[in-house]
Amino acid sequence: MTDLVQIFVYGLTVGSVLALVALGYSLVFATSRVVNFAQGSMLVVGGFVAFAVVRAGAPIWLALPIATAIGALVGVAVHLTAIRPLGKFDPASSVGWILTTFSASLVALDLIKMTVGAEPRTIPSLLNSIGGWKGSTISGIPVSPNDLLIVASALALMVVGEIVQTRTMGGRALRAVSQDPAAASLMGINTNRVVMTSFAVAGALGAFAAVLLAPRLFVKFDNGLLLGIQAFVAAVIGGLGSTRGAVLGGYVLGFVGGILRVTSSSGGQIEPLVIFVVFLLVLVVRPNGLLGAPVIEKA
Amino acid sequence: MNNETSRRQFLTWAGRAGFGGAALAVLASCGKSGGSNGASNNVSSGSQSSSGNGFKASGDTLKIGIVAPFSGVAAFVGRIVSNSLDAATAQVNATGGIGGRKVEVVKRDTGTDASAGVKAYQAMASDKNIIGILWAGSGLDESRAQIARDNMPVISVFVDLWSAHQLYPATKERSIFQMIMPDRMALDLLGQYAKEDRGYSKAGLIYDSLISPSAKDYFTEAMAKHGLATAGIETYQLNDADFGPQVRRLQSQKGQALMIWGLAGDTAGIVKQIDKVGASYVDTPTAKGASWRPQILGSPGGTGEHTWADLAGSSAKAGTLTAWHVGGLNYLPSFAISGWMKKYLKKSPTGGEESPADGMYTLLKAVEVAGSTDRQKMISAIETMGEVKFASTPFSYAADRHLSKQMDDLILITLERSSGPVATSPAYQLGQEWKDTYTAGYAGPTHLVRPTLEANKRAHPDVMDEVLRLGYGTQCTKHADGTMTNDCKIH
Repeated sequence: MTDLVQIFVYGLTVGSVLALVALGYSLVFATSRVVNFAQGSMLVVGGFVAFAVVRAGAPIWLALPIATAIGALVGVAVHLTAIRPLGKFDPASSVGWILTTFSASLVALDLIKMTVGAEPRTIPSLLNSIGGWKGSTISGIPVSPNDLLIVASALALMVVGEIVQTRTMGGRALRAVSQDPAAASLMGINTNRVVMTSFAVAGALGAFAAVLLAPRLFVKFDNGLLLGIQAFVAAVIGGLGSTRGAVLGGYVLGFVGGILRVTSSSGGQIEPLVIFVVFLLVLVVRPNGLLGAPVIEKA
Repeated sequence: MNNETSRRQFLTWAGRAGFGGAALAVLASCGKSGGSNGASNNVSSGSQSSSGNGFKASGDTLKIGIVAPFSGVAAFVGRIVSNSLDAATAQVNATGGIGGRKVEVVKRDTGTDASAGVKAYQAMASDKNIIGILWAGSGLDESRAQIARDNMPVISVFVDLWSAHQLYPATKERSIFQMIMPDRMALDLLGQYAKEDRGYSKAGLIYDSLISPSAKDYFTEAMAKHGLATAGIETYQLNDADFGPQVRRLQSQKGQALMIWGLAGDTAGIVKQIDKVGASYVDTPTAKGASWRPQILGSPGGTGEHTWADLAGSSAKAGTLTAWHVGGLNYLPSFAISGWMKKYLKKSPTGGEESPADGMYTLLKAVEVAGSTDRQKMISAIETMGEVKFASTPFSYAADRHLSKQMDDLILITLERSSGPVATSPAYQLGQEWKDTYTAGYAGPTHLVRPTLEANKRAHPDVMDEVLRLGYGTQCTKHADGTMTNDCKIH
């Protein structure tokens, strides 16, 4: 029973962490067919901005919106400097975006290093108690309010993302650009603005996630690269471009990791191997990911 | 205070960095493009020559190559190396150079890319003016064969070869020497401490299998050597978000001590998880009690630095221990590197700066002793020149010992809090650095002299006299006349 609880807690919390970051990859890919390799650096930008705000004396609840807003601005900056100058291009055949988004990531990281610093930092938890509840143990496994906040946030953001995409004008525009940018443009949709908005939202999501994750992972430069890679894998497994897919991919990785680690003391060592076997199997069986829609080439 | 293991582990990790598999291949290729380009760019824009006081390279200049990560996630290593060497070269040049020749360092960036280290070495090896190389980045392992062929004097300042039996005379590359304290020695000392000083009978281990894959072997060796039973061995990987499963298994094994080997962020996460399950360390009797409350014994970077204490917060308990070396106590007034950094750079050391400076001086002294920059003569000079003192404590190499550190150089660092010493009987007092060196409210390491005091006195009598006289970092009781007793107490 304890093992099951441990797997469940691990899978949900770690899966939610990955899902939050994967959502950003998925959103940008949906509108532009580009994998934004600067997405991982949003975690670093958001975390260190929040730290700087807290260090200046502001409460963490104020630092959250400020970091999120700056994350959105950095997302816009990435689009303006790394994607827009490339002009119209086919992401499938032109790979310049790989280098430009990666370069944008390095620039963002260096700016943070110069302005805030590079040492790992800690920021206060957003949620220390819920109605007086400060955490408890289930079958000996500790659960904290912040764990619940991470899980709830990932699920809530998925639901909000789905609602926005299906029930708002902006969401419909996003889907239209995702399905056929040329046709969307002919219908009067400003495709550039939609893509830029997706970068902004992805940046905001990354920064939001950074503040949420800080009690578990702290604010560190490593987060950008390592968590960014894992989240990218999660997004691909779930289906790049799919909001639900990103969350599902995160939980697939989380639960696979949980099962391996709970059942074996060397589970952590074999986890990357197993995850990439899962990754390859998913891509072989479903090339567009578990919930990804196939790309239909227009004649 | 002790960033050295972080650096060393980063460098080890750098060669293995990433997550493997298809997605990594995509990103790694990008990373290599970016990383290599970054390295190359840095090389061309600055195969930076820095003499610290403006001397240009010339035929009258002794050039030393530096292979280090000046960019990427391990760039903090490069900053430490730069600060150390800029200050040290400024000092050497300001005092007349070596035999009237100025010193210049040529820096090459490896990022986190081992191939960049190999390329950096190849470029330097073809430069006849470079007398030797300080290696602080990745690619050393991959370059060993060529280093041996070139007979190039190389001082490994942050890469641990000795622990893996990859340092001469265990291997044939006679021109490579090691400055950094080896992990195997550190775990040996911690095992000795656990058994002989604390009287523990069993200890567990949790280590980062990505950046410290050999920690398990060194731990097992130390356990066997000191007659301790193993109470669980667990792994994690850099940047894991949850340590619940590992901590639960360790809890069931009830080790009285737990060795944690990894980088500060992760090891801080581990003690937070231990705290969450109500198993934080209290004191020795409790650690030996029925419930699991192990004393944390950790790697220098993982549990012995200020950053770690900050990250772990209240979960970082007083009494957490790590192994370090006497020369790393760079707050001591007699250690020159601290003064040079203040004088030439207007900076204070953050930890580990003694190692690159002492490595550089090893090469310069070799030129002086050999009376030549002939590589073979320099290597023989390093082996035979005896004790050298430059940036911190004296050190030496020998024909059958290419490692600068010996067991007597190692000390133990314990985490303390500035709120005061924890209750012990008889009581001890905190070291003087709380008042003199650190800011108010600081929680971080002080050094503990009792278990290693005699050994350290043998190796560095002057330094240990200074430590005791000034009261730096001791937990010894001070007599009314101001002298310190050697009957030092810990938790």
